[in-house]
Amino acid sequence: MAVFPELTPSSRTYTPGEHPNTPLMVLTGDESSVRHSNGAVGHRLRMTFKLLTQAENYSIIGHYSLHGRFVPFDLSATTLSAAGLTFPTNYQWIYAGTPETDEECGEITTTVELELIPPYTI
Amino acid sequence: MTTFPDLPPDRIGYDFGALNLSEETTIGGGPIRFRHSLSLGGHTLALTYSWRTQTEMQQIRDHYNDADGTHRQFEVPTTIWGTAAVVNTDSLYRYAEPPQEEHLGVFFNFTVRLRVVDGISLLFDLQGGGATQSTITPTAFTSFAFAGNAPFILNGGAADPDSPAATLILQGKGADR
Repeated sequence: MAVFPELTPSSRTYTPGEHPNTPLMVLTGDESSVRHSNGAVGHRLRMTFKLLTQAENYSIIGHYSLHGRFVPFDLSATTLSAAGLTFPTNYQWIYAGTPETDEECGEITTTVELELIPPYTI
Repeated sequence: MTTFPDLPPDRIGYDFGALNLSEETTIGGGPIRFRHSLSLGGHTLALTYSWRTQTEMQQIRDHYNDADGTHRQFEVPTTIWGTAAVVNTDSLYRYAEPPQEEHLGVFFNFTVRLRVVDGISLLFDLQGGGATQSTITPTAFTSFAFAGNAPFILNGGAADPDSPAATLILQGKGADR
């Protein structure tokens, strides 16, 4: 699917994912943990784009409209520039929520939060 | 249905709405999503007005009362959005909450929060019919799927239907060639 617009964010907040697991308390008082998957899930990336042009903001609006939380997509190197982040192979991003925009005196600031999901086939 | 007053705000804040989805969680993987329609809606639009006169404030009060508070839906002038093209121009809105007023002597600050109840359909129909070459002067056109100059023309030319040069396929339901 279409890659996220090639925009460099003004700031990023990254929250790594974790392996799904269930902690179990045993009779001795020790705690065991059962891991349900080899994959990590729940990676979150929140990006703020400041001083966007109307066309740049519209590229995010259009991308969100056609993907939303449903259709997964990739991020370009531009969006992840200087992040030094690596992600599991074939994982893709979806929008964690609806992006938010603030416009005042022609200055556009948009915040986007993404969630990394493992691949699956229907 | 009374259109919202034509009062461009000093500041707008909005989100991009959401698809009609339901989700199921899994034990070992990510969320599984089900999309129920190709409609995008529920956008929230926050309008901030600063240092306005009582006449302008009264327009908002009157409109809120005419709309029966959060009950009735209405259209919003394009000037409210400025140059932002987030929803269709004929989208319908409701008040998300009563307008908030701040009285500063002669002037007023007020904030209005609206919610889009009829947002964007992501289904595009290409209608051919008895079309002829358009004589309309191309105009700048931007939609969620198309960007360029309208009208968009699909040229069939003298393509051989058994060995078409073009790769674009329009599927017209069960239509025969």
